[in-house]
Amino acid sequence: MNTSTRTAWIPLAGAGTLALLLVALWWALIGAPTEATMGTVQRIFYYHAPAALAAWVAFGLNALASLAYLAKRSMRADALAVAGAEVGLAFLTINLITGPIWARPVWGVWWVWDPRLTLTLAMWVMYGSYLILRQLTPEGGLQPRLAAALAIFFAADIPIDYMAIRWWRGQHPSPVLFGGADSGLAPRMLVAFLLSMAAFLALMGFLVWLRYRQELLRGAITQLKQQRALAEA
Amino acid sequence: MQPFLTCQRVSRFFGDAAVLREVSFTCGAGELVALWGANGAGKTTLLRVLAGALRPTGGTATVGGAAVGTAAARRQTGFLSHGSLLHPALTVEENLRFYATLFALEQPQAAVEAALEQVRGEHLAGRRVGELSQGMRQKAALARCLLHQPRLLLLDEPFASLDRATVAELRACLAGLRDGGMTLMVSSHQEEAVADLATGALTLERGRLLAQTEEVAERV
Amino acid sequence: MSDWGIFAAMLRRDLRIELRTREALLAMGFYALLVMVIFSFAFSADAALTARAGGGLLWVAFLFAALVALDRAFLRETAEGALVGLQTSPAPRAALLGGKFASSFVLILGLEAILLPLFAVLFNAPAHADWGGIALTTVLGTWALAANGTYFSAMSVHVRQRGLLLPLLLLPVSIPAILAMVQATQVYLGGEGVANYWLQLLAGYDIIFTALGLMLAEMALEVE
Repeated sequence: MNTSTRTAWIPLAGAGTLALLLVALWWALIGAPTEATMGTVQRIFYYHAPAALAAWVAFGLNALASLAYLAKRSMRADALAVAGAEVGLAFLTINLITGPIWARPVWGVWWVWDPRLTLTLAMWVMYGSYLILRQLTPEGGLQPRLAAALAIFFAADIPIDYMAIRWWRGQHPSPVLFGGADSGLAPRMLVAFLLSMAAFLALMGFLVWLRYRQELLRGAITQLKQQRALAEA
Repeated sequence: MQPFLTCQRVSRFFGDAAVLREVSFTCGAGELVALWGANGAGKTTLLRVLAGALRPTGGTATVGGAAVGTAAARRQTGFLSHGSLLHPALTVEENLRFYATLFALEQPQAAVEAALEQVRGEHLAGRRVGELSQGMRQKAALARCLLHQPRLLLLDEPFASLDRATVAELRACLAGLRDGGMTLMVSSHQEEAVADLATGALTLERGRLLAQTEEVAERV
Repeated sequence: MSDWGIFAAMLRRDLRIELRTREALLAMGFYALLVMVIFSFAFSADAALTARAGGGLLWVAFLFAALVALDRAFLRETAEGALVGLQTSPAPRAALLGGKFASSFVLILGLEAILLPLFAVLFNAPAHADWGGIALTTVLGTWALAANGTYFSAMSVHVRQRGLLLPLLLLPVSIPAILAMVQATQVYLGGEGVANYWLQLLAGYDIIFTALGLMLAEMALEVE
């Protein structure tokens, strides 16, 4: 693996991501106008939704990488799968924490059984269990195979989950989480929102890339150790 | 001679520890190969890899042309390991019938009876495995290995903790199988039990193949 | 076809083992009973509670029973290294897994047969409850738990904290099925709403995950 040229990109990409995040932060806190009904707390929206999107994309990477692993048994695919799951879970955690922080002052409750938040909770435990599975299985050929199979189970499960939860909540309607925020956003709010989306996606991509590299390096180290063990008397 | 069992640079790691290091050899049909080595040399690991019970980290091994671990190789391999692989709550016959079905044998009952006859264990059929002594359990386990008439039989320390009479019976049985054209690989600490049965020998030391002798083809 | 033969042989063998080693069956049955009794204490069971949350209570008790039975599915194979025997046989993994699923399915249904009447009595279930509907829901729901549970039980064999990993893997993936089981049961217990959609969801879930488990059977029963 050619490390010299690749490592040069890292500080560059990191700086770019940081810059984007700072710009988005300014727009979220200052640039966008304060929302009429909810007040300052509404600004969490600029982190809450993008975090969810970043998580979903990361999990999507995990699913595709897992399929690729099952098809080709490639260690690169496995490395990407782990990276996607870990980074996705981190962003999902942000999403799960910012939700109640927003909900409490606005609706007076910490938790609502809004379909999206509920699905988020379900996905959080799913990918948590995925990472625990990886932790507990012995290294080598078995861990990637079991993890990939589990990831496929998730891919089948999540759509069914969404359907089930929507039907469930359909019978007990609750306030829509971001009433009015989705459509008819004021122009400056839209700018802040889109910038946040871009910033979070960039951060997600950067983190996945770092984790992916780290995983490949780990594999290379193990290979070297094994080669050395073979050469020993 | 046409090689029946081949091993090419087979390695196996547990974490960072190398238990098998690039082991290479070939065996022909009708050979009985003794597998020597101190404790921890990798004998059990090698046998497990050949049986398809453990995946090699590196290298390839084939049985009768099929890669180990594939169904084709498994159909031709019998593995007598430390456990009897028979469930203690069931009778010998019930266990054997079950395995006969797993191996998709045409006539399971006939195969069970034939296998028990081969090991001289017909009287064990109706006994529960949990009640059997070590020697009897070994016989039942061996019968299980012979059900599908494998062309390769791998035995991991089969003579350990057996009395003299049973050892003699087992030796006679193995000699018979060898003469019948089966390839056998036997790991053991008891030299006297195996030495005169063997047509060749492999010695492992710390995972590496140290020496090969006689008809076993040389491969550096 | 010999695959069905293997499936049937595995089913027969597992059930036979359980019946011979009665201690395990007895312990499982008593455990299920105990769970239900403790629940009735813990929740001060009465008709009002059952009308509101009976479905959930029943299925949590069923889940406890199912987890114990599923854990045993591959625990059985640790005796005398029997698992190696299964792994080194040329039998198709899907057939082996299918047989294991069937035996777990039967065992769990047996446990539920004990729990259901006990629930009806301890929790003062309404007389006009639709027991046929509850039975149907139980069968479909148990299918879902047994199918995925068997798959994850096979996966857990390789792992140090076996008993811990099985619920960790099974419960998240089963969330939609559990939702469906509980809601349908609640409806049949006399609650409002319609159960049909939930049953359809459950049936669909069963089909999809059974197929997935069979397709990916090789992964679960792999050797190290």
